[in-house]
Parts: sequence; C-alpha cells; structure tokens
Amino acid sequence: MVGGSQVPNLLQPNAASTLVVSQDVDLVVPVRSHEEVREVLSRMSGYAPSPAEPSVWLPADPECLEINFIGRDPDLRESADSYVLDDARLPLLVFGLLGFLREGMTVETEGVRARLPRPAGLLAEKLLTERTGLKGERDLLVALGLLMHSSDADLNEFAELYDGLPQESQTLILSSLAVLSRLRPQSGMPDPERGRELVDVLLARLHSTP
Amino acid sequence: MTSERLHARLRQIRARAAIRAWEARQIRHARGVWFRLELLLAHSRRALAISAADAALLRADGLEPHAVGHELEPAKLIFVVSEDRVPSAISGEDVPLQDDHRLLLAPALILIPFHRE
Repeated sequence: MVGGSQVPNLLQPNAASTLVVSQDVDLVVPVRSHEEVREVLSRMSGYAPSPAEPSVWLPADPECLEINFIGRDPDLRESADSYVLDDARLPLLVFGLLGFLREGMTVETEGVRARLPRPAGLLAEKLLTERTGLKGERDLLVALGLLMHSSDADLNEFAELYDGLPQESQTLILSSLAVLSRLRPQSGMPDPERGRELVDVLLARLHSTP
Repeated sequence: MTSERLHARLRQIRARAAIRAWEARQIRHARGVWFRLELLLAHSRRALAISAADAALLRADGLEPHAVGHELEPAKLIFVVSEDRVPSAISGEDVPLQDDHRLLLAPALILIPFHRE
C-alpha cells in the first residue's frame, strides 16, 4: 500500500500527480507481510538499499522515485508505540500512527496498480504526527491534499474515527487543523489559502467550538 | 548493514511524542486561550482590524464580543459578525489571517465566519 505524500497525487483524476512535489514514495509494509515483501525485493532489479538509510531503496534510474519502506502494525495507535523491526535485508521503522491506515481503493496508471489507504485513516495519521519545522508543515499540507479528494463518506468515516479517540488526540487533531488553516503557501504543495473553507467544514463536522 | 539509524530515529520519534502529549495536556490545563483563538481564526473567512471607536459602535448596535478576546492579556474586543451585519459606517482594514503580529496589535477585530447554513 502506498502511504504519505504521494496519496493525494494518486487520488487525483487519472492519478495526475500535480498536487505534491516529492522525490520519494512511501510503501507501507504490514509487519505480518514483511517476509513476503523481502522475498519480492530479492527478485526486484533496478533498486538497491541505500547504504545510509537501510529502509530506503534507491533507483538505478534517476528518473524513478526513491522508495521509503515503512512498517505498519494494525494493533498500534500511538506514536510512542513505534518500534524498529530489525532485519538484515529490510529493517523497518514501524510507526504507531500507521495503525490507523485501512486499505482502500486501487488505482491503475500506466499499467501499474497501486493500493491506496482510505483517506480517513491517513488523514488521522497526518494530523496526529508530530510537527517539526518545514517537514511538519508539509505533512499538514498533505492532509489538505487528502481533504481536497475526500468524499462525504470519507469525512463521515474520519468524524467517527475522531469520536473514538482519547481527548488528548482529539485536541491534537483540532490544533493541527487550526494550524493548517493559517499556513502560508509552499511551492509544489496544495494551496492552504484555497483549502481554508474545507478545513472550516471539517472542524464544524468535529463539533469544534472555540 | 545496520539499522542503528532507524533506532536513532525511533528515539527522536518517542521524544517528540512525549512533548506533543505534554502540549496537548497543557492546552486543557492552561485554559487553552491560544488554542481557542486559533480555532476561532480557522472558522473565519476574513479578519478586519477596527478602531476602538468602531468597536463601541458595534456594541451600541447590540453586538457582544467573543469570550476568547476577554481571556487574552491585554484583553481584546473580538466580534464574530457575518459580512452582511457589519455596519456600513465601519470599513476596517483587512488583516491576513496568517499575520499574528497585526492581529494582536489591532485595537479590536471583526472576524467574518465562513458562511454555513
């Protein structure tokens, strides 16, 4: 399953990929499938593990994206629960917040099929991720890209997920949305000024009142 | 090949998660006026800086300032008013909602919410 900043790109009509400029793609590996993925990688050509970052695989062709393998354990929900799955071939950082992800639609573009997560879970993950500097702002703008391509049903699913969270997590989500609403535009990212009304509508759905 | 780098990232993630949990608790414990002000701004389509005299005019018109403004130090008069209810005698000056400095320096503010049925 694809995760991270490429998801809004792939949710665009015909996977147009004009929303977010990024040099890599996150591939989410369920920990129970780790061995299968490792097997597939042993047969894959054109990519090799980065000597500096063993969960990142670099393309031989500079036109291709780097692959960042990240682990998902469906039983986790908190960032603090993250752990490292040690392995000589494919070590993984298993992110606790990726436990929110659920498999969604499959897109097919130029003969390649890619499974995407359902927007609600990825939105929760992006809004709960710790924000640090420019990377943190980019994460929030990726959340905006998801909002731009979320259906009414996706937003309902997100609101249900939100209702089931502890109060601290709910506060963090509202805080992230409030920050997102007032971000300044960044080149190669969704325009936060144009997305402000979407954020307002989502906040209203979450019954946030200042 | 070593995964020591992943372990180093894991330590950073856990440290940041602890800080973020602390921040979330502070929002509740420290009354969270900044949090509520940010939410109010997120619900606003426009912000207008107005003078103290304009604020007095709004109050004379029966409009009450929002409670969040009273919690700021110094207190600020913040009126949440739909566009069609802003008296024509008040023009105000548009302030970008990202501009914290100007928002906080304004003597008083009108916040115009996004329209919702």
